[in-house]
Amino acid sequence: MNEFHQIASYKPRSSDYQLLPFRFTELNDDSYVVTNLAGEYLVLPKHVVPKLITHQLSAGEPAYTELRARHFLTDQATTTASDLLAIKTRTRYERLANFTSLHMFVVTLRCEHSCQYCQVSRQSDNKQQFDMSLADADAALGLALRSPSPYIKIEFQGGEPLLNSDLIRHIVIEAERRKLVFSSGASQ
Amino acid sequence: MLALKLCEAFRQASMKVDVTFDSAIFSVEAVKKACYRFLDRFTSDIELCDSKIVCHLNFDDKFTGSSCDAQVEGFKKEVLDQDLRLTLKAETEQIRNLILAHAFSKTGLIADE
Repeated sequence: MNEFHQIASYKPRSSDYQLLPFRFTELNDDSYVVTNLAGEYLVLPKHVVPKLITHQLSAGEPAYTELRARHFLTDQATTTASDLLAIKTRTRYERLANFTSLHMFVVTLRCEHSCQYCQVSRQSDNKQQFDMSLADADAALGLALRSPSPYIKIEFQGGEPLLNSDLIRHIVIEAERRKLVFSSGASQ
Repeated sequence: MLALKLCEAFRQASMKVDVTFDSAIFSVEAVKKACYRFLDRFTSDIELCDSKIVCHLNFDDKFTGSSCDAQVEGFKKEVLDQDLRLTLKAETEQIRNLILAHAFSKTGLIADE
């Protein structure tokens, strides 16, 4: 007659897990915070981290399931953990692939307002030496268009950017000339 | 003259402590990493003597006897942490590289071999 093994034999042994990459640092006298590539984190009692790294952490300990769920370790129950971690990592660092899509053009520092909350060192209305030059605008546009991102967003800032509306008009026309499709909305 | 004497007195007051680690247990790398973490509190001259890693800690003037003791305790704990981090790195470096390669395999950021 066949018999089942004792229940203990079905539980993973403490060393039956593989560590996934993570970092840890002291949070306070009692705890470490552990973080990984995907930005997951856990706060653990201090004694847990050495046990985890030296493969002494038992599957029955409260932290074990959390560590597995957040991709700090993998075992037979989580064969897709490294794939999931890679997907989360890719999502988290997605911006690196296309570099930045946002380009801010500060077309002038002049402003005719005095808003209390504004942090800009504004210049008075008549100081046109604080306007972006045509040559700088063309060079900046060239730089923005080198972005590998399939879509870019150009923001006009200041000062009050409309005080240099001629330059804004030039940048828009020039960008269109370079086959960049603009819309009235913010990003594309 | 008085200023010179005061300066000398301060120099003598800065604390120096030697801390020793067994090189069979701890790596020089772990000790060095821990020293970096404490650079705002002391500088360290590290030397290997037989099987010992000896750190001569030169504390900033603001640290006195009892506060130095606390820093030394913290330093020893930090060496342990750094040792643990190296263990972790050794075990996970390969999979870390695989995960990053997998994550960015279609981005063009990784040059073809």
